[in-house]
This record gives sequence, structure tokens and C-alpha cells, in this order.
Amino acid sequence: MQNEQKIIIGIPKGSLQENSLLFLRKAGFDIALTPRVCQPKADGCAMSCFLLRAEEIPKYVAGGELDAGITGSDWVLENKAKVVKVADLDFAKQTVGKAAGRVRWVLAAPQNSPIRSVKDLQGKVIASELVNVTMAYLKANNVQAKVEFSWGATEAKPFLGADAIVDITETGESLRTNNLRIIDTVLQTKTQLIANLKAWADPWKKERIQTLGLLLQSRIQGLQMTNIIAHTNKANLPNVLRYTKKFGKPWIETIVGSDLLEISFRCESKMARDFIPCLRKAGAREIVQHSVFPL
Amino acid sequence: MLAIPAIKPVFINNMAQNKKLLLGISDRSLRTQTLELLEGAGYAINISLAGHRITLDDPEIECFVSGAHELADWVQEGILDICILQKARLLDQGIKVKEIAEFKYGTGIWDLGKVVVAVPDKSPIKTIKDLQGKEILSRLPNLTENFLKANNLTAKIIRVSYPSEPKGEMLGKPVVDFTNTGKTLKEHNMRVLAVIMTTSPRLIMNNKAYQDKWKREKAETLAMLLQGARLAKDMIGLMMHVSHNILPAVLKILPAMKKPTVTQLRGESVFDVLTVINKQQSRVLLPQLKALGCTDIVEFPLDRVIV
Repeated sequence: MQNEQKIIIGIPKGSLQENSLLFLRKAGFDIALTPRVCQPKADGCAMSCFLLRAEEIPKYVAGGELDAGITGSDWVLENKAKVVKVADLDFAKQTVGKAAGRVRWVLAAPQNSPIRSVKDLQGKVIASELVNVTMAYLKANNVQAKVEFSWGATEAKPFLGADAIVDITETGESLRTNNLRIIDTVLQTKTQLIANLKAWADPWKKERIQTLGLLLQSRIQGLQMTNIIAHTNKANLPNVLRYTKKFGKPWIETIVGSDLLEISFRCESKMARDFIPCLRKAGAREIVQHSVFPL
Repeated sequence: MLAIPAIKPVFINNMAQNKKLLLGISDRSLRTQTLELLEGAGYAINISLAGHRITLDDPEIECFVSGAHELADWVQEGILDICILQKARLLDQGIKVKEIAEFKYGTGIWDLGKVVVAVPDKSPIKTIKDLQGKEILSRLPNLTENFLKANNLTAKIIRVSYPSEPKGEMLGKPVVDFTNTGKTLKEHNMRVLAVIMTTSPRLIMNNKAYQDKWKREKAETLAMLLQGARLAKDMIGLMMHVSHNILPAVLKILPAMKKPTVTQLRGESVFDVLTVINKQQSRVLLPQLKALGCTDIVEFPLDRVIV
């Protein structure tokens, strides 16, 4: 086993880092991250990792230096990278689940700016980290304007000479705080697992990367689900089942030495708060909710 | 784009538009734990930078932040509907409200706090009898007076605001205050002379608001969810494999908050046993279960336990 085969993956540093590592670890990849280290150790995973800016991961995946990587679809477009999209990963910096559609690049201008639509940008200056995408967006709208590259903290640029910005937003909080008004959505983006074309042609690597995608997806889904176990008696069972039927067929068992029944099922974590009181009203008792593993 | 717009009306039939429950949240005492329980109950909490605006992801609950003393008055007067406050605070102010639920936590601990008389370490006061004729700095003057009366003592009670310990230390006088961990008393070189009462947080509701069916049900549901989050901190789930010959012995030692669920594994004389037990019991139980011959014992944390 001298030449142990490995896949090389890129993990995004910055806003996607925390959730990427969370789900990689939940998926069973024991990735040890120590401060300042750019190659986190991943022992026993047949994997070596690089911590890189999400912006650059598509470039290295397209170039073959990395076999696969987690990044945003925005950076794949910006880099015009030719890669395989392996799996959509439904998380962003702050959202897990239903992240798609929430995270987007928007055109924004100061609250008091006369700019009301993309057409008002003719001959103006726009600051953005996403230069190529912004240029394509302007072209599609038949507008000629100067796009200035911004290294980040783009919200400050309208007060430093730019007429408008194209910036990423998830909650809109940062734009609001900086007195900026959203004019248009330029691009919706989602987190993705991407792979190099050559690596994808290698059956061993392809299988590893596909499995990685599946495991990540299932962990992301798992976090949105929760298990509920409750007791009820025969009389109340139909009532309780009326509520639980929207979550599929619950597991029902009799409890030895009593006339109680135990029902267990999985439901969306977000629904549990409003659902549990209804369940109790329907006659369920000793309701236990946990999220550790699927029963 | 928001989290669960379409789901709510299905479950809550009596949802009335623009009805709101006004919830008071203490700016200091109990605050951290109360917010943790709200989070555990399933509410997403947003706190403003200064900390005085708290919003929940439930448009039917509006939070208002203030000092505990004021919150108690305001619930009594009906400016607020509900609030979680220490029983000792309610007794001291003679607050007349409905108590909906009692919880087990204190400021900084998941156990009950106390109201104590404390004196500086070097004080000649050794027993409560020595308090006779002294000056006492108290954050709970009425409670203090009743305590003295019950012990046939008289003393001059001076009402002080938070915190009392540095004042007691500086002036060398006895103080009456809440204590939870005992940390503050220690920091200010004070020792506990007597415990006036053990106090627990109560979810209180304005009497008139309690007559409103919608508000009452909303408050009772909130209480149930908070209790569920609190209880989950004390309990754990336990799963194990048990062969049929030791099953009776295992079931005998398993306590039954929930009656254990026993499932026979397909094609084997081995059973899967699932139960929920007290965390403290688990320390004692696990070695016993192991000794009996249970295998694959898995402990797992719980998010909510609603009895």
C-alpha cells in the first residue's frame, strides 16, 4: 500500500468553510483543521484536502490540480471553468436547506441614488468581485458601463466613487446596514460539489467523488430532519395518525406490559415546534424528539 | 422565501390575524437561560446589537426587554401578557398573576437558585439572631421583612439595587440577595448566613389576558415547549441489544419515564431495547447494564421531551 490512491479536494475558505467542514465531518471524514494550515489532515479518508478561497477552487478543479471541490456555482461561471457538476449542496453561510434562491448576486445602489433600473447604468461605474458575470449581465441588458474589480467589502464602494455594486447577499442584512437598495437580481447561486473532467473519467475517482456527494447531501438533509417518538393509546391512535400521515407511514409498536402504543416517525425539524403541541392535543404523551440518527 | 409560510395554518386552526402575545424578557437575571430554552423550544431568536430588541420567528409573539422588577409590575398591570420571573421576585412585590408553569433553572445554572442572607467573611454576625437591630441591605425588602418577622427579629432594611454584594463588602453589612452559583458572594468575600427561600422561575400571565382563550392557549403551548426543551437537558436516550435470557433482568432495572420499547431483531433471539432515562441515572445504570451482558449500548442526546 505504498502508493495509496487518493482524491484531492478543495474546501472553501471563508463564508462556506464552516458548513462545508460541518457536513464533511458529519459524513464521516475526519478532517482536522488547525489554524493557519492550508492542508487540513484527513486521516484514513483516502483523501487529501486543500483549504482555498471558493473563488479559486473552480480554476484548480478545471486545471486538474484538484480532483474535486466545494464551491459556489457563481465562481464556476466567473472562472468560465469547464467542470463536472456532481451535486448541489443545499447550504450557504447562514442557511441550511432551502438555500437555493436565497443566496444571490444583486445589483445595488445607495438608497438616495437616482439609479432605478439596470438601464440607468449606461456609462456608469460598477464595482464587483464578480467581474465577468457582471459584464455578461450588462451586455445582456444592452448597457455599456465600466466594471471595476473589487477585492471585497464591496458595500463600501458606492461611497468611494462607484455608482452601483454587484454583490452577494443571503439575508440582505449587510446591504440594509450600509444603506444600499437592491435594484435587480443578477445571478442566483448555489453551493456545489464539482469535479475535474479527467478525474471523472477515472472509475475509481468517479466513484469516490460520487459517494462524497451523496454522503454530503444526505447529511445536509439529515440536519433538516428530526425523529419523534411518542406514546398513545388505542383510542387516540386514529387522531394521532391523522396528524402524522403527512410524514409517511409511522412505525407503530405495542409496548409490552401496557395498553400503550409507541409511534415513531421523522419530520422536518422546522415543523416540530408547531407540530408537537398538536400531537399532544391529539392524545400523544411522552413525546421525545431527537436528531441523532434515522431510526 | 421564508422558512415555513405554508405550513402553519394547517396546524393552528385558531390562528387569529394580528393577535399577539406580549412576552417580557428580563434584561439580566435568567436571561441567558430563558433565551436558550426559547431556542431549544424551536424559536429562531434575533437579538439587536444593544440587546434590547429581541425578535422571534413567530409573528404571534412580541418580546419586550426590561428589568425583572418592572416586568413583574407590567404583567400584573396588563401592559405585558406573560413573562418568566423568579418566584422570590413575585413574592417580594406581592404580584397577583396566574402562574402557568414552573421551571428548574437559575441565572447561570440549570438548577434552582436561592435567596440568602449573607455577611462579610469577617463579620461578627454568626447566627441570624445577631441580625437584631442591624442594618440590612436588601434587594428584596418585603421578603426580608417577612423573614425577620418569622424569626422574631427587627432590623433596619435598606433597599438597594443590583448588585448588593459589593455594597455589603464595602460597608461591612449583611445583604439579602439571589445566589445561584455562589460565585459573586465568594468574589466579594461574603458568606451565607441563612437561606430565606429556594426560588424557581415561573411563567406568569396577566389575569385578564388569561381569560382570553387565544392568549391562554398560546401561552400554554409556549410553556409546554419550554418545559420540553428544559426536560431534554436532564434526559438522554438509551439504545442497546439484549439477548432474551437477560431481558427480564434488564427491564427490571430500567426506570420507566417512558416504558422501554422492545423490538425483536429479525431471526435472532436478541432484542433491541430503546428507552429514555435521566442523565444522572445513566451513570449508575450503564455499568449495571454492561455487567448484565447488554451489548451495543448507545446513548444519545434529546432535543425535546414532552410528558
